[in-house]
Amino acid sequence: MKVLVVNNMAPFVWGGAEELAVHLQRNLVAAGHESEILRLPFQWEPSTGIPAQMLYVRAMELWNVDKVIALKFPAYLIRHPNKVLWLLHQYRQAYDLFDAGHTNLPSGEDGDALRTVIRGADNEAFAESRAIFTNSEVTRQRLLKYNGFDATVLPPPLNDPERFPGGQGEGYVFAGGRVNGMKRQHLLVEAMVHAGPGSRLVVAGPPDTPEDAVRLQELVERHGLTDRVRLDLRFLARAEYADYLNRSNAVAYLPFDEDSLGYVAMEAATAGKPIISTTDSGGILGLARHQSTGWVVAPDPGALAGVIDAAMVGARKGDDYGRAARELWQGLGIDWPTTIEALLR
Amino acid sequence: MKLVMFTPGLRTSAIGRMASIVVRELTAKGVEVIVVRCEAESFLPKSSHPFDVPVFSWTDDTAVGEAIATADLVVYHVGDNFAFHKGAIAWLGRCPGVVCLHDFYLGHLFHGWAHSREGSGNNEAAHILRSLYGKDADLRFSKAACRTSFIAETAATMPCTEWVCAMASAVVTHSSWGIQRVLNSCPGPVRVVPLPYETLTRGHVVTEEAGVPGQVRVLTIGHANPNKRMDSVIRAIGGAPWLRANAVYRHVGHIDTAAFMDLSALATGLGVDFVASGEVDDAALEQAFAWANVVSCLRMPSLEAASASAIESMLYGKAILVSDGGFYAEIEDGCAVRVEGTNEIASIRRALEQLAGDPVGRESLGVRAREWAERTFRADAYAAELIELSGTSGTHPPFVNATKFFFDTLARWGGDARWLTVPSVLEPIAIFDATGTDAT
Repeated sequence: MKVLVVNNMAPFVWGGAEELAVHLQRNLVAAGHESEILRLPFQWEPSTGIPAQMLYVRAMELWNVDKVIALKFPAYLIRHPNKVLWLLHQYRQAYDLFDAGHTNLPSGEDGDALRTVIRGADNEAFAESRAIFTNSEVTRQRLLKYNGFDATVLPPPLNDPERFPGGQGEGYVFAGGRVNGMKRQHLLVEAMVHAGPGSRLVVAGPPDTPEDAVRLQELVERHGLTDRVRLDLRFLARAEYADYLNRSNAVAYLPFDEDSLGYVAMEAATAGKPIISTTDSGGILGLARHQSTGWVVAPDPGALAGVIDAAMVGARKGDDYGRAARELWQGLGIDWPTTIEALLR
Repeated sequence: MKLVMFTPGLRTSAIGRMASIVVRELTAKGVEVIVVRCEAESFLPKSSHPFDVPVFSWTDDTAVGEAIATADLVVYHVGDNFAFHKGAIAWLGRCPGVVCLHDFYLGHLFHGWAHSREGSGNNEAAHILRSLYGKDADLRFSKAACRTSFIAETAATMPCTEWVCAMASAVVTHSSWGIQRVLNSCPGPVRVVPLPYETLTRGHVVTEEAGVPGQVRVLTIGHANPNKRMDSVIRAIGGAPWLRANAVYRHVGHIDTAAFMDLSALATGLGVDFVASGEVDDAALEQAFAWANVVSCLRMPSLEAASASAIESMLYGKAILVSDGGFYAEIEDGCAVRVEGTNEIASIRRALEQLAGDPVGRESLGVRAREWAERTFRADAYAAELIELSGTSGTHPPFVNATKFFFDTLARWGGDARWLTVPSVLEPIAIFDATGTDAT
C-alpha cells in the first residue's frame, strides 16, 4: 500500500512530532508498505494568516496515494478519500487554550470569526476521516468536548526501546528531556534543598532558551547544591541520554498538564525505572501511579523532596515500582507493529 | 460560439423582452444561442416573447444539461422575482455563468428561493444569510419578510445581491449606483453595460395623439408597486386646481385589487381623473404611449439596475419624470425631469405644471431623451460585451473556480466573506487571474 504521512513543518524547527512522523514512515516501510512524508509549512503568526493556510491545504490534490495518515492541524485538512487522523494537535489556541486565556487569536468579533472557521474546518476534516486516533486520553477528551467526535487512543510507541534495558541504579534521580518552565525541572532542584544529604539529581537535556539554563544554574549555586545536583544542559546523543536513564534509581518527569504519556515516562517504564511525577501532569499519570509504578505528589518542593529520598533509600521498593511500570507499559501493547496495524486497519 | 441564455420568456416580463432583443443581436453576430425559459413551472406553458432560436424549459434536465455541456458561455438573467427566475437560480448553483443583474436588490428573490427550500432538511438559507450579514441575519430577515416594510428594512443591509453574485463567474449590470456589493462578491469580472431596449415599433416614432388641447396626460406603466409612487402623483395632481382640472392619470399594467381600490379612492377623494387599464397587449401599450405626453417613471426606493419602462419611454420620445437616485441619477442631464425625494409631491406638481405650460420645451426634452437613449441602450453593444466575456469568464475560468472554491470552503466552515478581502488569502490565488496585472 502507498501510505502518505502528512504533517506540518516550521522550517528548521524539529521536535517530537517531526520525530514521530519519521518513525511512523520508517515503520510503515518496515511493515512492507511504500511510504513518504509530506510536510506542509505552517506559520501561526499572525493569526489572520491561518485561514489562508487552511485553504491552501484544503485545495491540494493528492494522487497515487492509497492512504493518508495525517497528524496535525492544519495538515489534516488535506483531502483524500482514505484518510485517517492520528491526532497529535488541534489548534489548541482555538480550544482549551482559548478558554484558559492563552491564545494568539484576537479578541472580539475577529477572534470569534477565526475560531468559527477553525472549528468548522476541523469538524469537516473529522467527519470525513475513516478513523480518528489520538495520542492520549487528554487529546481524546478535548476532541470529544469541543468537537463532539470520539476517537481511539493510540499512544505513540517508543522509537528505540532497545536502548532502555534498564540496569542497576547508581544513586540518583534522572530528569531528562527538554528543559523549560512547563517541564518544571526547577521544582526538582528546589526539592533537593529539602532532600536528604544522600540524594542526588541529574538534569540532562537541551534548554529551550538560555534563560531556562541560567535559572537552574542559579538555583544550584544559590542553594549550594553543586555536589548533589548535576546539570548537563545540552542536546544529548541518544546513547548518552539512555545511559543516564538506565543507571538511575528513578526518573522524574513533571510537566504541567501534558497531553500524552510522555516519551520520558515511556522510556523510564521500558527501562523498569520508577516514575516520579506530580498530580497536575496530565497524560503522564497514565503511567505514573502513586505507590504502584512510582510516586505522584503535589507539585511543590517539599513533597518532591520526600519521594526523591524514597527513591534513594528504598531500593527494593523502587525495584518493585520499576517492575510494575514496565509491566503496565508492556500491557498497553504500545509498539510499532501494533500501531501500524491499527492505523491501516 | 455557442451560448445558453436563461431568461423568463413570459410576455409580461420586461427582462424577457430585453433578452429577446439581445438574442436577436447575438444571432446576427453568428452566435448559436439556446434559450432556457426560467420561470416557475406554472408559467412555462404560457406564451413567450419571440426567440428565433431553440427554447428549452429549465425543468428539462437532460436537454439543458447537454446544451450547457457544449456551451462556450452560460448567461443567466436575474431579477428580484423568484417566480420569474426560479430556474436561473436552480441552474446557477449547479453551473456558474455570467449573471445579467437587473436589480441591485434581490430580497424577494432570496425569500422566494428560501421558501421553496423549506422542508429540504437543511438550513441553507439561514446559513447564507448569516455568512453574508452576521450571526442573527437569518432571524432579522425572516422577521422583516413578514412585514410590508420588508424592502425598507433590508435594502440597505441585507439586499442579497452578494448571494447571486458570488455564484456568478462574471456579472453584467446596467448602472453603477449599486455596484459595490457586486464587486465585493463576484469572483470574476464585473461590467456595466446599458440595458438594451427598444420600442414595440422598433424605432419608428409614434405620433402623439392630439387629444384635448392643453391637457396633461400622465402615464405610469408596469406592476403597480408602492415604489412607483402612484399615490404621490395623484396627490400632486389633486393638490393643484389647474392640474386637477386638466390632467388625466393613467396606469397600464398589473394592479391588484387592493392597490386599485386604494388608488381609486384616493383619486376620487382628491378629484383626480385616474384610469387603471390593467394588463394590455402590445398594441394597446403602444397606444398608451401615443396617448401620453408625460410618463411618470418614479421609483422610491429605487432598486433596479436599470428601468426598462424609463428607457422605453425615452425611446418613444416622451418627457419623463424620474426620482433623483439610483439608475435614474445616471440619466443624462436634460433628458428627464428629476423629482426631489425629500419634497416629492410638491416637486411632482411643479414638474407637471412646467411640462404642461411649455409644450415646446416638453417636446424638445422628449427628442433629447430619445436621441440619448438610442445612442446608449444598444443591443449590439450588449451582445458584443457578452461575446467578449466568453473569452475571460467562460464556464470554467481558473481564477473564478479558484476563488469560488475558497469562498465555498470558507462558507462551509462557517466563515464569512471577510476572509476573501484578506490579502493573505487573495494575493496567492491572483496567479490564476488571466486578467491580473500582478501575477508574477
